[in-house]
Amino acid sequence: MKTDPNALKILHAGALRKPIKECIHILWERYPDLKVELDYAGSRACAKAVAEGKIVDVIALADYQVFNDFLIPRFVDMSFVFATDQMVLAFDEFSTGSNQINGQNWMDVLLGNPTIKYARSDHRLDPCGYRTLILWQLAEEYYRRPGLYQLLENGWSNLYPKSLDLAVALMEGKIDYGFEYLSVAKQMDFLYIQFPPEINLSDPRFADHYARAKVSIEGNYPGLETVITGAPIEFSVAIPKNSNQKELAQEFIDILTGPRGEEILETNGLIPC
Amino acid sequence: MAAEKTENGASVSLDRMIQPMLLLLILKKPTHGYELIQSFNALHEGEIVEPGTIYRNLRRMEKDEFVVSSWEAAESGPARRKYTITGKGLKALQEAVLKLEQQKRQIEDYLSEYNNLVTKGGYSDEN
Repeated sequence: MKTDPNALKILHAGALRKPIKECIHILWERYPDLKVELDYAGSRACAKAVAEGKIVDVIALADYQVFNDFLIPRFVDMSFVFATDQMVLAFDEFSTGSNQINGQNWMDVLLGNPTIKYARSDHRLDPCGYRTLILWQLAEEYYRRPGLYQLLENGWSNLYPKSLDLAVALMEGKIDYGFEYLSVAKQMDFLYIQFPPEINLSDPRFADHYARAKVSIEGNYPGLETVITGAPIEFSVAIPKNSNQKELAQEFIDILTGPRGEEILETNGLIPC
Repeated sequence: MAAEKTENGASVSLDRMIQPMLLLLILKKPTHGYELIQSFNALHEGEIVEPGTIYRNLRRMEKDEFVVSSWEAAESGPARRKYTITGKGLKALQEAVLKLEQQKRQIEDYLSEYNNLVTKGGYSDEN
């Protein structure tokens, strides 16, 4: 894709699509003629692209740890935490079993009917994917169901590059259930089951508990694995060192993390922090 | 409990003791929401308060100028919003403490009345 050198280039996690667009509208109130190029992917895919030479002015990801793994200190000095979220199981009224599923029996519903399709996003590309695997590990212990993690991992029907693709698949009826962020479930008007704070990755009180779950994924270089440790969900934003529009990028971040941005985040189901 | 308005216009919500507790913790040590959630629930064992409620109260208190925030970089890890108490926040905390002391006296008076009644046998299940 040919890019405009004067455009503000924002690369972001798919889950942030709606709030980022709304914040751009605030920036356009100040600069009506400003060109903005918006691109999105799973957060790990975003970070890899920047590490491989993609030039952007703002990068907003679903996990600050991705900055640490791929971009700090070579491409980014520091990231700023601006929102939190939690994992939920999203579905809609047409999902098979939707009239019987609840917070206690969700795993039995997903595993008990071979016609039910449930999905997660790809842990190699998207934090929502490895957070789902961490949630399943924690659920195995929380519900005292030995083997639950492996059963859930063996049973998913589809794997999507990012949480937004998972949400679209759910909306189109391609799957019955998806492990999603609460914010995305709210933005898409899905029904959802909330998990207890001990496993939903929302609560800093359980940080040490979450850290007991680990996921191994392909590393930055062939043959090297990266181990992701469970942690509370924290979305983070930064200006890459090679940004051509640092002042505008800072203005955008000030909007995102300021009172109007906080209102937008809250409206979209995220918790500004 | 509703928000209490003070003479100079500063007010602090006593609802579930969330704001007085947060102001006290921030007075002890200016810090960020993540750490406040951890220390809040350690100090406030009777009731678990959700992270979202704590973050919303921090924002509300910043809007009311009881606290101010600034980005603080960590040695390893991301920058987070660090909260510091303001002069107005200190005054609001003092007002909240006065109000709580008044409520404490009311509760003590009430319990004393009740215990006196029970001790003197002025109450039975058949009443």
